[in-house]
Amino acid sequence: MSKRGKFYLFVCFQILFLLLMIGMKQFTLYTGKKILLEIVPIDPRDIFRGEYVRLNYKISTIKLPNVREIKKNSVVYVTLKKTEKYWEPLAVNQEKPILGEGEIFLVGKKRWGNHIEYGIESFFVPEGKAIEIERDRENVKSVEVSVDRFGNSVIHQILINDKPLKQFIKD
Amino acid sequence: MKKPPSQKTLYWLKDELDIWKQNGMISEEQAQKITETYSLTQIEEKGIPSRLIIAVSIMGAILIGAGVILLIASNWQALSKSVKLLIILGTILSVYHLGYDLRYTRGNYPKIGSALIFLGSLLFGGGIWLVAQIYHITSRFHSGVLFWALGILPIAWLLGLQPILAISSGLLSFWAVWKCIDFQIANYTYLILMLGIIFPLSYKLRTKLVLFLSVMGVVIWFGVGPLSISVKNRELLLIICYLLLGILLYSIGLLHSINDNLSSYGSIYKFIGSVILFGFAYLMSFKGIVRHIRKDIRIPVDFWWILGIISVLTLLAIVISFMMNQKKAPYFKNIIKIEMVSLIVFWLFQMFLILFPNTIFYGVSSNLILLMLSIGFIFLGYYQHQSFFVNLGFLFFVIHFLTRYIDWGWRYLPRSAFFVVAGIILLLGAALMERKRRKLIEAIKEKA
Repeated sequence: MSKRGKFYLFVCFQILFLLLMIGMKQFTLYTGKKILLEIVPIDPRDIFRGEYVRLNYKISTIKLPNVREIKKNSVVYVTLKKTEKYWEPLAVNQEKPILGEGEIFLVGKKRWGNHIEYGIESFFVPEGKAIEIERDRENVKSVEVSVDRFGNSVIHQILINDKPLKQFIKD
Repeated sequence: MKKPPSQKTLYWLKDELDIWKQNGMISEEQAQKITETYSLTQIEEKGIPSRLIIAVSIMGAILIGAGVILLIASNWQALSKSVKLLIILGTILSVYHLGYDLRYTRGNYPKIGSALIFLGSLLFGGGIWLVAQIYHITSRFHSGVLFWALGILPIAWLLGLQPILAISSGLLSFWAVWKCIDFQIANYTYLILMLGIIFPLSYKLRTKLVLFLSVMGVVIWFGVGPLSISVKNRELLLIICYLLLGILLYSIGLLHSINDNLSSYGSIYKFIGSVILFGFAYLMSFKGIVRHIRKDIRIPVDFWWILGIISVLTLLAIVISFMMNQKKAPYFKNIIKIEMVSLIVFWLFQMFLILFPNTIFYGVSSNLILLMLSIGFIFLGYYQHQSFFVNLGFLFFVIHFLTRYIDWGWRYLPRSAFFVVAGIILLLGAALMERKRRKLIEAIKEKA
């Protein structure tokens, strides 16, 4: 293959990679089941992506007896079931769980102690809005998350006073 | 692999060719052959130096790239997410295409073309962060940096563009250190990527800058990753490992002397190794620090592994460079032997000081070895015709001298006299050293 051909092939790889990133997230958003999770937010900043609200979910700290024994940085599968409003953890496994009626699982990574990370701990907002959200933190209680059949999750929207963030910013 | 002639030599050859042709020393055909062999047609006409054009255009690309990343970071809401994605994908494609066109297809603006391809590789990173922002991927998205570094590497390899390789090397080091700090893991994948891809590419593209950045990256990762995790808060073990790492780097520098084409790259390892060794000897010259760090001496198993691997590699480097340099001229052979012996003596002496910090000669010995190190580098630079070693030796000497003056002089002189005497000593010392340093560098240049 000519140098020119190879160059465009490598550029196409980069574009395909970006499209793959988009595709994977869109797949989770469109095919995933929407669940509501309870949160406790704070607001930091990312050098590449600007302001965001750091989300600490109730399901981030799971006080089940086997969680502490799992090796740090291992992949874990957290089985969730809907209670009255929010989805709560039932079990944490290191292998894919067999699900019962009305259950789903989320893929995460065990970090320190009882803490598990799901890759959905940041919600990026327009410049200057993180402080506004922080001021109203008492009312930021839930996040709608899409979870696909592989356990991957993408944040759908953040709810403030049970209203989507977009509506809150307009108000 | 023969060392290519420098740009300066090529300019000289181009000018000389015309004179040789006019004098009838060579035929038109021979001149054509020389022109083709050394690609003399590709040399730009004299005027604005090509390096300046490269520097300015790369700076322009960096500014545009930074602007785009800042625009992404502002999370501008006037455009919808899909429009933003289309714009970034379209911009990446057009910038790459225009860059390739200017550099290769039309070839009329090769430097600007390179800068645009470099900009394309920055925009690819911008694209990753835009997607990560739109889909709220966690702020600890270390893999984003890794994907960016790996995604642009094939282009650096294919087109031989050093700035892209430099960015990729820097990003990999950033990824490694970030992940080590965040998750408290050693992240050995980084070492594999550096040794398997970045280092070989740095030699292939003949770029000392990237090699320097990469060695520095590995040195920092070594401390933040494997070392800090295995030895935790035991500073003594940490600095013992760094002492050995300094010796290993210097030995790798020596290993480069077995091949004439590689010898100039060896100076990078020697430089970084020397700075680490001086830093170590400097720390060891403070008795309080040695006593403090010797308190917790329980040694974890991982430490022995790290120490063992570095020691074996160092020994291998020393033995191979000793055996392979046997055919060299006695002058060079002897210098290399002296360097090897000095390394071993330095190591033994420092280990003795660590193990027996209560020896009555501790202060004298540790300062003597610091002084020997400075003088050693000045002599090494002189005999190897490398002025930077002379400068390094003088720098080490100044740091050592100032530290001891403040340590000892403060206690024995009234404060006003302390500052006046210090000022006079500094001025006279600087003048004396400047004269000596200039003389040495001139002597080196004359010899070279």
